[in-house]
Amino acid sequence: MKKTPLHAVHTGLNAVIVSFSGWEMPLHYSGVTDEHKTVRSAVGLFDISHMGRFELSGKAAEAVLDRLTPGPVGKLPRWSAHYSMLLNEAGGILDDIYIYKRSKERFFIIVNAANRQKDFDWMLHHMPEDGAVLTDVSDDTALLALQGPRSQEVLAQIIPFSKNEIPLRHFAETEWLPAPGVRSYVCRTGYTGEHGYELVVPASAADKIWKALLLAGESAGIKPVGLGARDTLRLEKGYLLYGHDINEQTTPIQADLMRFVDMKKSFIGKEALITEAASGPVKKIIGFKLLSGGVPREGHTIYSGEKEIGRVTSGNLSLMLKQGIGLGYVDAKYADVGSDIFIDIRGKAIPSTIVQPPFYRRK
Amino acid sequence: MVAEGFLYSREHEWVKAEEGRATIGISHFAQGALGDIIYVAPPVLGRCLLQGEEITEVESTKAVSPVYAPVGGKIIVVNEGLKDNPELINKDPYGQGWIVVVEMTNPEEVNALMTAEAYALFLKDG
Repeated sequence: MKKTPLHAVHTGLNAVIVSFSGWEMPLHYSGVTDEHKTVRSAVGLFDISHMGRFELSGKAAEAVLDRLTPGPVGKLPRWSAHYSMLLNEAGGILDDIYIYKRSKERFFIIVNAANRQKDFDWMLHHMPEDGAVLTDVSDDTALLALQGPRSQEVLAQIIPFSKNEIPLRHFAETEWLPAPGVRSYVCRTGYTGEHGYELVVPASAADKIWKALLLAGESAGIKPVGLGARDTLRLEKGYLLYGHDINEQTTPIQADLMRFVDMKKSFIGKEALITEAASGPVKKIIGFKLLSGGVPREGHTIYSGEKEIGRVTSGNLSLMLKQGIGLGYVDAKYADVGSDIFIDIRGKAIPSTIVQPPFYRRK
Repeated sequence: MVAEGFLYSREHEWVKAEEGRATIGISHFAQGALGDIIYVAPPVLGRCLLQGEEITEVESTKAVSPVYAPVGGKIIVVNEGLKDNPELINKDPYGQGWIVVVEMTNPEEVNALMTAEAYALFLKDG
């Protein structure tokens, strides 16, 4: 079981530790509900070092990514980032990833922990002999997420610039005041739907920067947040979780991710998507809300009247709405927003409605 | 933390029995193991349960767990407070976090339950 550079810090904070994709990770510290609400109302600090980090560099770097991912990498401005995917030839999603473009010749990529080796091998296999070098830099760094409406004021205390706020989906290279002399990325991205940052910090300084952030955020009410709340936060925003809501058997068409796909360019999986778009997908992702009590979970069956139409892939109680919410796939002809469905929760058919995520928006 | 004055089942429910009636909840250990409780399926008032039958299910942020009847009987009161505040089970498992009151069918069933002392040992020995 792998441990992040912050493992001892988590046990020192009495975190409940679980194994996740081969890593020992904090599930929660003060409790999922408390941590969730802290991120929505103040600021939370996460260790997400289990996620894989790659560097892709060289003259052919942009051309490689342009072929490997369906998004408009070429149009991405320098020092900005976008959500993307790796697709197989059948259009199936090998992984969902985040691409950070430093220049046409230098990219930083964040991938899911469970797919780190698979993605690396796939990318390497589809690269030219010359012109681009792919490096797995995961072990040299730790990845922290600082998320919540008060994240900016906390971040400003540990980096040397504060006035020029990093725009959404942009990133910068910075020095860290708690660990002078080292420079790494601060990214205005996240998985909570709140204003926030992801910080790529050197592994050797992770502990120092983590502690400095908790101290800097004390008056803002900062708390450490585990994977439990990371999951409830992302679900409230309708963000997909790889291995649950998407996998190699789902395509961007089925998963409602075509806004991240540029059909005008060429990329691996494009032909399959053209074919699927022409015939129409057999299944489609839906978001749904329960109309009465109950908590939907992955694997629950979805009904339209008496007819079984699909399955839940993620479900929980929205801690802000106090209402059961979830994602799932249904037979495409039943996927219209506003349709009445039933979720079978251990034999009870709970009336529900198909809605367009996000489930939660700040008032 | 095992509260004194309650009897305990091996499934981590507690019972406070008085004059043929039993108030039932789950132990401090059980709520801790479940994590944050976010939903309690409403128990059915008037339903008759055998010892060991499921009273309800409690959902935490991570999973669902059944609550079994440590003694048999008819559900005569349901804690309505849990509907809007299921976290009362976490905050006050032996007090405001009680789940139901049953009228016991056979009050002698309590004799099979553990005292606080025995339950503390049971937890320690796993």
